[in-house]
Amino acid sequence: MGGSTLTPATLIVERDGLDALIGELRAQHRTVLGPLVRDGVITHGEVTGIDDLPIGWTEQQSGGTYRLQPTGTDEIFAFSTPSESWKRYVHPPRALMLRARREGPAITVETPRPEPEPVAFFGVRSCDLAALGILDRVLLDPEATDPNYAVRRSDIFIVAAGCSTPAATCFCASMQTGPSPTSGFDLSIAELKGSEPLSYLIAAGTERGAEVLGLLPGRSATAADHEHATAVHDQAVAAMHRTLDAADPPRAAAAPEHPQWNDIAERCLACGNCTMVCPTCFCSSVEDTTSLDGNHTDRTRVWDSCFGLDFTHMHGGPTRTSIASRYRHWLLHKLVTWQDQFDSSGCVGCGRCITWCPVGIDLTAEIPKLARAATEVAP
Amino acid sequence: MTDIAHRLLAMPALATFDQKVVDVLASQARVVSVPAGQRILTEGDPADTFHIVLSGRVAIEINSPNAGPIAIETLEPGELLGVSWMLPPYRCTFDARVTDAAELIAIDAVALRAAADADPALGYALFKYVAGVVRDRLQAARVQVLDLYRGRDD
Amino acid sequence: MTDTAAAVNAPSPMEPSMYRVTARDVESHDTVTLTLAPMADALPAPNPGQFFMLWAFGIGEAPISVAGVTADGSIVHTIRAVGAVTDALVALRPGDPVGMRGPYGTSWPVDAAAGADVLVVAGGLGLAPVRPVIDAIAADPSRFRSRRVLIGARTPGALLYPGASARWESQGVAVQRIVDRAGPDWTGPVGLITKLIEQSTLSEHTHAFLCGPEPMMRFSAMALIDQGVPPEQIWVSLERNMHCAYGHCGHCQLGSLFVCRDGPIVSWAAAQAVVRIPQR
Repeated sequence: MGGSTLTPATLIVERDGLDALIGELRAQHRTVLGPLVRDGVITHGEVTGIDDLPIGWTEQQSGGTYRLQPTGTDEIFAFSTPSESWKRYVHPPRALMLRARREGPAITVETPRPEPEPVAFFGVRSCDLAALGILDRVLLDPEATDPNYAVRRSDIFIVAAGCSTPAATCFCASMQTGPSPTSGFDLSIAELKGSEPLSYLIAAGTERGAEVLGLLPGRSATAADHEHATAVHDQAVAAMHRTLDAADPPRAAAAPEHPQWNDIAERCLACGNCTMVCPTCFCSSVEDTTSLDGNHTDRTRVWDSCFGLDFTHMHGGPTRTSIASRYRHWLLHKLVTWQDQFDSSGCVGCGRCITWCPVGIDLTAEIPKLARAATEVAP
Repeated sequence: MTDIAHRLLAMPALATFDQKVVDVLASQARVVSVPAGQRILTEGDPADTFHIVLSGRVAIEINSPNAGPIAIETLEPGELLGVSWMLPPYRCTFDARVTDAAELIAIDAVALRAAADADPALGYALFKYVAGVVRDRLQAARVQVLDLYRGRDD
Repeated sequence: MTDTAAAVNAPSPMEPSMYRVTARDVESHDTVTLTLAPMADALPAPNPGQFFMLWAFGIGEAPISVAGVTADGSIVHTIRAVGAVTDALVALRPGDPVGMRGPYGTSWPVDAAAGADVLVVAGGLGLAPVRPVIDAIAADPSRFRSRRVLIGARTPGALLYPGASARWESQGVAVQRIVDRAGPDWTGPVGLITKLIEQSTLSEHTHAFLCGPEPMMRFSAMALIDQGVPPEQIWVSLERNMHCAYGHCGHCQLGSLFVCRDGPIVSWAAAQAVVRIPQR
């Protein structure tokens, strides 16, 4: 934490303070991206003031279901995870990697790099903050760096927002990634649900965060304010009923051929939705597209999903032909082999894969079944 | 112990055999030298002799009118040539042709069958030997069916 | 936290270097060996077992193992036409440009085999990725206690590098070849390559380098273990779909391995658990 004696580390603001915060970030020439209601969901997009935020909205999420609902309050952060994570802003679904031209015998190649664009991520949930850290470990690995990711990641002012209203699909507490942000932000907002007037405890996590905080209208936080924030946090933890026992995924991995995998495969459509909405799934394809005259080629990196049959195609055919083998690969990568590769789980407990699965497959329900199955087959 | 018994015992596949079994084998055996190109077993003929390769190489072949004789496996020193002598109808199922001048131990299968029938312990020892060879050749045939080295256009 | 500022200025990992085909040797109806020389700056020299991403302009990229490096630093690749990209690569002619990036992946631990008995087991096109190992052991007889190479192929006509095989033998390497089926012109052995393994004298001092179709490597590794070769001294070259070759695209994952980065060369001790789980 880069605290300065001249600027406050915490501040209590009301709605006008949040509006001023967005205004200040925009005054810094940042594009402010935050939660908003669009297409029947709470998702992310550019926000210019607090009126763009999902004031008075929450949502109901469960396996295969998402429904917007009014709260009847003027709370701003009474929702849980937006339908999409921040992945698309740092690791876009399509990115130009290379452009090549052939003139006679000569081939010229350029590898375009995105323009650094100052942005602010406003209202980042703790689970999504953890997911950004996981993507960093994959795509900023010193042994293999994606410079385009680095450019997009290089100047993001992060305003996190603690989660007071977890969805039924959430399990961040058991993944130890939430519901309240603890690091990796410039500023972090806690909505003091039920306070009169409705106020927000903002904490600075960096020097530049503290500087912005010093420009906002507000008052010092009292011990009572901190207790209020703690109570909101505790209620959120208590409201989360899904869990994932860290001991279970390795057990499931020990039974890769158990029939329970086929039981899942009979429901799984291999649509890949879970991988698209997952905030950490990073897999991609590299595609060369060539002009009709054969002289211009664009190489694009496109999000891909390990649920696709072509994903493992080699001469002689794909190596994971059954849906069971593909689901198993996805789940065990996310929860088990990710640990071997990147020293963390690949899952942050955001629950999006449950909500956006068309048939409502719930990994928190499947993992214990697979883990039990493993103990049954053990000698 | 006879010279042939010594040579039989020196083979890894037979090293675990009882001295008694080896003596019975040796009593029905003689060493033959066969020049390259000569056929020693013919598909459909009675399987009244089997061989153990001492040196050289023997190919097991299938003849086909358009492809000619195709070698499906070769037998190297120490390997058993012929398993059909063990089971009715005692008939050779493939051709065998020497491809590299060979010295072989030829064993009278008819006499050995009679000895095995009379002594189940001897029969069991021989059966285990032959069954192991059959298992290895079955595995080889199955893997060959996969045609692992095939290219897209082969 | 990772150093984002430095990463911003890192070179693009997708940037190819342009090479030119300087020789094209036809190995069979679908396989050629290309010698590739840099047009400008050369890429770093590969270690035995590593691979490059080869780019056919307008078509795409494919990972191809290095089959050799010439005295002047040109890279030798043996390529079989099995898809759109390899069709285009096989069709290249001397003078044609080809993009390359790499080298990528792990390498055959030849140095660790110094003083030991070296056994190379190669099946089909798998001879290409172990060829640098054979060239290395052939050139340096005093470093190894013994040197043996077993080569399997579909038919006698499909055996790669007949000229090089003769040279290795003249350099004192024991080379044995076996084919799946043969006509009367072939007097050598016919059958599985494991037959040659069973006839070799092996021990805990053997270091084995295996390359070929996965079932062939599995059966070979089992035959080696039966003869007392420790799994840690058996090395295999794995193959999976690859798009990026630097661990970002995810396609090549096999268990915990990114085959592009943690492979392609993996010890049997590490590979056996993942390659024995049926993926279908």
